[in-house]
Amino acid sequence: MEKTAEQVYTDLLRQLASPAGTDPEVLANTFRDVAI
Amino acid sequence: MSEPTELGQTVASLHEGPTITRWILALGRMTYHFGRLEWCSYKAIELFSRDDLIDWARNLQFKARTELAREVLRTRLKAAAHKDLLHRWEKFFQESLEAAADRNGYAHNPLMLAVFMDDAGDVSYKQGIAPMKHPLRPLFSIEEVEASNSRLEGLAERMTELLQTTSRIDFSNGP
Repeated sequence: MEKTAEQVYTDLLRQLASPAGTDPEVLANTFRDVAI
Repeated sequence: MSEPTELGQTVASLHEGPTITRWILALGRMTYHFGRLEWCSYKAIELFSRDDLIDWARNLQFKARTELAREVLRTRLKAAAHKDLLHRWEKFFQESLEAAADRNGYAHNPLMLAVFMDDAGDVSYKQGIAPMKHPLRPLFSIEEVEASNSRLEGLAERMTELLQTTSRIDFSNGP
């Protein structure tokens, strides 16, 4: 099932807040490519 | 020379004297206190997240930056089992986001004078900030701005205490 825009945004925040996450710019760009 | 009309006097009072001084002070205080909340969103990310996040987050608007700071604190405090402190942060962030909506209404709209005339032809005036995107809504009064400032000041004081308390926690064993 496709995620809502709010779910996608929440996922992005969680991954950004993760202490051992991906580079924020790279991570944000991957979310930017998601069709919402 | 004719006497100034009541309307003329009222319009003039918008631009000089104690009335405009009260508005300027209220809007200035709002900017000052809100700046402290802005600082908190930067500081919380800087202190409690990984090093590369704050530089990226500097480009975010207040709402997104505050939501990110909230998520950072959730991650840290859940892992460290500080449930009560997390609850206080959650409440603080929620109120900060609500305060941002008020701030936008006051800071991005003009101070105006509304003139009302009833069926009998009696004229009355109301001075306030006009929400231009919502023309049917009432003007924001000076009392509303001042009450909002009191809430902002209280929020800024809570923020300082929360940052101090959280800074004393040892997160070295967390994620």
